Amino acid sequence: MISTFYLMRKTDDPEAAALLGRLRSDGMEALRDIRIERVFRIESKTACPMDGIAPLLANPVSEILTRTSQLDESAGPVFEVGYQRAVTDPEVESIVRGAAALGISDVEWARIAHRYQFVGISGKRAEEIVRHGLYNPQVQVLIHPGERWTTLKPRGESGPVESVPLGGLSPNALAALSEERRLFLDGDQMSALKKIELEIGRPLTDAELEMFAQTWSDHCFHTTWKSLGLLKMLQDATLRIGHPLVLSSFEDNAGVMAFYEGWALTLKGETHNSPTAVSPYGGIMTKHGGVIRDTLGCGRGAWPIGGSTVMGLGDPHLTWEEIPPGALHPGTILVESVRGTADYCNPMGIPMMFPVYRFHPGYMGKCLALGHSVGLIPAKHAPKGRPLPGDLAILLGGPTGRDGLHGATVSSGSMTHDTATVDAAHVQIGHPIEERKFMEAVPVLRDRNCVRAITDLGAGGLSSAAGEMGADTGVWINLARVPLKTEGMRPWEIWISESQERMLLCTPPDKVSESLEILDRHEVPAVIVGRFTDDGRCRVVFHPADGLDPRSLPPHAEDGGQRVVDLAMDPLRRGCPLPRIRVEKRERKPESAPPPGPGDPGDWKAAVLRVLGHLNVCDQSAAGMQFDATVQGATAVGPYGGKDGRMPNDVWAATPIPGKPHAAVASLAFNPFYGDIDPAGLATLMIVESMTKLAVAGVELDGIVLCDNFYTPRVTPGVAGALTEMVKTCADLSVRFGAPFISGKDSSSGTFTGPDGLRIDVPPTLAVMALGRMPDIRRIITKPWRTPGNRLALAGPLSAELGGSVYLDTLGLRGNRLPDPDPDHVEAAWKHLRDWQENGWIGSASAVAEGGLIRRLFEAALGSGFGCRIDLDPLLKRMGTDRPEAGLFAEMTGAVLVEAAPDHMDAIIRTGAIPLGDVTASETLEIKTGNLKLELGMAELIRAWERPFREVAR
Amino acid sequence: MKPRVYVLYSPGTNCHLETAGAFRLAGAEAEICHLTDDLIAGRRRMTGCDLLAVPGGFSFGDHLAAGRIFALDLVHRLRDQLLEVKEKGIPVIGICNGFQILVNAGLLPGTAPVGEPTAIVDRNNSAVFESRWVTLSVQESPCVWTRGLAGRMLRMPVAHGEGRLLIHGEFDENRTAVRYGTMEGTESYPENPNGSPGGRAGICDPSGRIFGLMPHPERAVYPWHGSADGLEILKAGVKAV
Repeated sequence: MISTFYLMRKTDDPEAAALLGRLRSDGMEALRDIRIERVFRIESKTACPMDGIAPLLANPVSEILTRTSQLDESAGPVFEVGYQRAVTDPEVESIVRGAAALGISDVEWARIAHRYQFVGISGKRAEEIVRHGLYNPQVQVLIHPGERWTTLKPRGESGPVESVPLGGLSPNALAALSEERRLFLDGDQMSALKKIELEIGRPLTDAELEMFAQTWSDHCFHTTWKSLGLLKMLQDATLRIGHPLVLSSFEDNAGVMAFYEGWALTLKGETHNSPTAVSPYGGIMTKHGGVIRDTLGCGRGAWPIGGSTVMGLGDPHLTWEEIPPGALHPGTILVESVRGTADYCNPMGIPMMFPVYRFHPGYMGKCLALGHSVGLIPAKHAPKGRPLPGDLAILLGGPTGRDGLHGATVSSGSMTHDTATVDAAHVQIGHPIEERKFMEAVPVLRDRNCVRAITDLGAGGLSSAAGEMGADTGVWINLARVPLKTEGMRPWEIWISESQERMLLCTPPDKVSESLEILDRHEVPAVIVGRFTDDGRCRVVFHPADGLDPRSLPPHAEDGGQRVVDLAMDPLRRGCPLPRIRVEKRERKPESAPPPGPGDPGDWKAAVLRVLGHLNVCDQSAAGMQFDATVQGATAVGPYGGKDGRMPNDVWAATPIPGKPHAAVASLAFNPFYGDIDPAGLATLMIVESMTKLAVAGVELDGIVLCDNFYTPRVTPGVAGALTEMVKTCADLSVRFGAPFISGKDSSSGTFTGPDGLRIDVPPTLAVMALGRMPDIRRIITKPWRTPGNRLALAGPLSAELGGSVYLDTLGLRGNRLPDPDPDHVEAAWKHLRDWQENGWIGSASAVAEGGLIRRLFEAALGSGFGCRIDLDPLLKRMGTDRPEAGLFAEMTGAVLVEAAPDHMDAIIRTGAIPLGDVTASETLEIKTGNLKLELGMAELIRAWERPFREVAR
Repeated sequence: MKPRVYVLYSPGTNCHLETAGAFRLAGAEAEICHLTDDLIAGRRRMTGCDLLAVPGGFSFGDHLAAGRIFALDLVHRLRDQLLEVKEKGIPVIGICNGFQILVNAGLLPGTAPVGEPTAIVDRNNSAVFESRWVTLSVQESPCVWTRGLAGRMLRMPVAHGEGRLLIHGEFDENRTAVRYGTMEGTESYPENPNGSPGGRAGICDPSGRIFGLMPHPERAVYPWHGSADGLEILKAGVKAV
């Protein structure tokens, strides 16, 4: 029986007010008011009493609960938004629990919807608003007035396992089959499957076909990278370095580096570009959820201590008319992704390390959505766990639904203008509460030796997790044991479903009851779904009669049931034919003369304001401060710091061992412009930038590890050439610096194709996160200036090259060459910094990157409340240029702005650093070169810097 | 013997570990106590401790309203113990989500019977989650958790989406223990991150032993994290046992 209740605020409704404000400032002046009503539908055996349930649904102080709608339909059009029938509302479990606390114990299911009423505009206009921004068609629906349901529980239709014969199909028919089933397998792969069919002497089942498609997808198998030999190139470089602190690299869900006192740090970055481009809110949540599970599933289970969100987006100032059909507006992706990060990372209780938003027109079709996760684990538990035959497979976390089907294969294909509808199922909404529950339980399981191996369910779902975990032994799974949130799923759907917030735990038989007790205590749903075997096969059945006690397997569980998958592991893991990719060497662009620099002081000031107000440089705290940066009580240097707490920091540092000052320090380098000019140069600059930031902070120079995230367009000979150059540079430079890559991810899906042959490629993209350690956080060096009267200098490699700079971008130019720092010079600067730090000479320091020297001067002033007096001439002379814009704006990665007391500065200058000037007590940047004198008041600079992002991120 | 603090945990709680750590630093024995598996299952009683901490997080995903499900469990499944805690005067601190829970349970402001809320901790005026550092002024109040700190300005982080304390009916201003920004309390953003009237950041019940606040004292216990001011509050609570 379904009871319906309506809830409204008595007085002001901040949510409605915020929405009204946003829409009115978007130009909808006619809109006079918005009212929001919540609708609760509760299914129980007997009618749900209103008095009884009221304390659960309403706060009597501020809200009114009624049996009928409180909205007066004549006041304006009303639209009701709820979850789709197949999707479980996140709050059902809490409603059932809360009702039980109130003594109403027969509640079976519930659904929540929102009714929006718009006053002052037409129904048509209101519907546009709802469709554009108030609901997510991937998981939600508009509920029609008068719609009557007999049950609220998710419904769906089931079916048996089907065979899909390939024999006799022509290449065209095979291609059509791949297309029709959304397998994204190419001709060679389909032919290979035809051969496998012949070998096993029967047609493949639908589940087997899906499993091959998922295992062999570019997303999971890295076919592009493997074909070009790139994965091996990076792994070989790491092996060659043989770093003594590296405990695990490239073989597990994350890489691991030794920390102090028997602990280790884990590092992983994961992109989730395709779903985010279609459905940013859900896509972003899935991104964070997935990379956090990579940490939980690293070794025998690590504890996440920090995370990032790194977004690459198109121009948010475009009008809707300029957006090609099938793509979302970059402004929408921005706002929705911020909301998604807040709604996932804050409940997870993992501090935000780097909230980074960068803009480039190439990301308009397919955005970059990258997230990192850093974790802490006892070093003895760091090695990847391996199942033994007889171990049990426990599926833990949320129930499995139809959501997220085909995520692995879709994200490997390129997005087209109809991806949004055809592959809708690959997007889902995250439930952080489910993940937070097992995040809590994982370290307990680990420390009580209940974990033989653990991995997350991400792309490919159970198929991928069980298949990979059992690759060396064999595995048997009964899908009938998997708890579902959608009724009547077909076996293949259960097998490859990508429902989030699930993990697969491999437990020794004698630890099973202890494991289940721990999971119970943490209220984590868990079910034994199968066991690891010794037959080298992947055997999956659907057998509802095997007893189905979630806490034990009957002795003969492996007998009987419908055969879903029965394959040898070998062809799955190794049988994939790799595409033959032609590699074209990139042609270097000819050099061209730089544009003339600014003229009078007014032009100069305007140029500075444009650079500081550039979206890639300006204040992004309107987004960044929505993410909890201090949870876990270990953050020493968060995303923002300095005098007013609004200066962006260049590194993140935390002390993850309670009570100890040992610090994990991380930095991030991500630039969308450099790749347009020179992909190899991009790689050099990202590595130098990330490592220089750590060197400046004061980490141990021989204890730095790296994580790479590549994002490139769908492969063409030219893209293959660019990618190869990037990876080779990474491999070579990591060896040169002795800083190994220990984890990473590549995505070759950065292409959007629209109608009429429109193709938008992402720029060759590489983000590098560097992770290091220092014994004592109290010695860390940060950016804000310390003392007026101290002197400033620039150390490290210099460059007058403006190519790829934010400055050129503000002029609508890109340039043809990048700065090319000499690794010897870079490393020498790091060593000097180390000496100066040990001598206690440095007051503050910061590494120059996007925006050039002027940005660091501005930020150091902002963070300290001081100013500076700079003479650019010695710098320009050393750079060999007479162009002051090169001194202020060139992105001379590797160069470091250093502050020291006058007594110590002479020694610093003697090592080759260039004197720049002094820190002053006035909030002004005074800059002089030749006859030009600039006086830049901080108040005006701050105004130009704080506005642009705020305007697009609201 | 060191005083023993129970730090309550439910699914979604995410500040219990550092809260327990901060209490240890403040001189207490700290134990994580599970709402379901310990208290509701009857393995422990809330009265088995000398101090009770309800830490921050998103208990039960903040479903329906921040802190509501946790509060319903306290009020309806653990009512007797809760009344005993009040009667015995066991010092209670609710931090962030913990504060929201105490308000939902009617323990704060604490003038009506348990289970009857007379205030709400509403959505921030900015309508978004706010993660920043704030300055708190400690008021003259009966609150045992700020005893000896009146007149001090304390620095610590806030991190919440719903922190605007709206009290309905009469409220004795002497029971505002900490305010944002200045001694008088400010309503201006961002010094007051949520728009709480009167700059109220934390209040206590009439006995002064039950205290709730939005900022996170447990995140400010080592100078290298930016401030050790939060430790003072926890120490005062431990001393009040």
